[in-house]
Amino acid sequence: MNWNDPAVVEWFKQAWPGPLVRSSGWLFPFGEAMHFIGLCLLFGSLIFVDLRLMGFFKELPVKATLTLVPYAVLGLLINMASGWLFFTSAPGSYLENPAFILKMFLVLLASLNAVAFTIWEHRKVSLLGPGETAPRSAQILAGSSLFLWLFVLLLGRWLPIFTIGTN
Amino acid sequence: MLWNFLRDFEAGDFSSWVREGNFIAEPFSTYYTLLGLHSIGMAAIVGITWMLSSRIFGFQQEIPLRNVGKLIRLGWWGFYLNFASGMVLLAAQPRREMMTGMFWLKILAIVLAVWVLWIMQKAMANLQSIPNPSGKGPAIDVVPLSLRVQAFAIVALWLIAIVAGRLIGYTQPPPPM
Repeated sequence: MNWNDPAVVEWFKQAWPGPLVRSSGWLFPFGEAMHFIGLCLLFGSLIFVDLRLMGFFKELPVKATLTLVPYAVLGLLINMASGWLFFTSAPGSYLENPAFILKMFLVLLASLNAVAFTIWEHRKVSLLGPGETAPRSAQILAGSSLFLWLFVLLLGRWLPIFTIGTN
Repeated sequence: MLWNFLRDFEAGDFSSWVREGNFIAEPFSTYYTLLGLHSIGMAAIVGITWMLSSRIFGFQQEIPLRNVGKLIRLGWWGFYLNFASGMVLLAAQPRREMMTGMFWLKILAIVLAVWVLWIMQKAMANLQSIPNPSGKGPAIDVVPLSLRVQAFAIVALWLIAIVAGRLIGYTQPPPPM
């Protein structure tokens, strides 16, 4: 599938809520505010969880930090919804932007990383109390998570640098 | 006089570098690189304070509030990064920012949020705890109403700062001559 095919771009352009965003003066800034709120929820939660798993803040029980994960999920959902709002407003300019393509790839990778952690590590690390160290595999997944999401954040801010044209 | 100074400053090398220059190398423009750092700092300070506020509201009760001092310090480092990058970003077009109401609302919300965080940090360091009624497990933090009010205030203040910050670009007047 060629993502830059004019028919594909036009389909995304007509998808909800694209036409609404283009005709409204406040929907795009509203989406931006929501995107930042989601970002803070996602990172706030990950700072507690990932850094604890990586060996920092050992005075906190791992199980306690994991109770913040729903905020990361909520943040991600908010960002996916607001991100779709941005994308449908001008799909052509996003699809030809290499930073956007890389960002989406890293979001996918970070999400798979989270799924891998949930399947293989979540139950094991839940038993860790204060002062205990997570297994190396969990440390690597936590470090990868923080690195990937930080890179996603930076790429989001750098999209204008790589914007080729407007659609 | 200040206005004339800022006009000369905007015409100078440093301000031009922030607006149009590259940060170390192409294509990483100074402006967008600083925006990236600004966002990382914001994510750290706002994210950490919102998670702590959630705990103070009564959720995630397994997190011992007496043991979050290091996380708050990390949040402060996030704020320092946010503040430092924000100051340099301001150098890009200080007069235009100062003519924007949303900029001043954002600054006011941040000043108040930082003040509330400072009060909250002291309150959390002196938190009382009672033995767990079950006889085993960690002691339970006694969260006073004043701390809950502060947590509510800090959540609201950061929300205002974020929304106002987003609206600056949409409500700015044209660049002054």
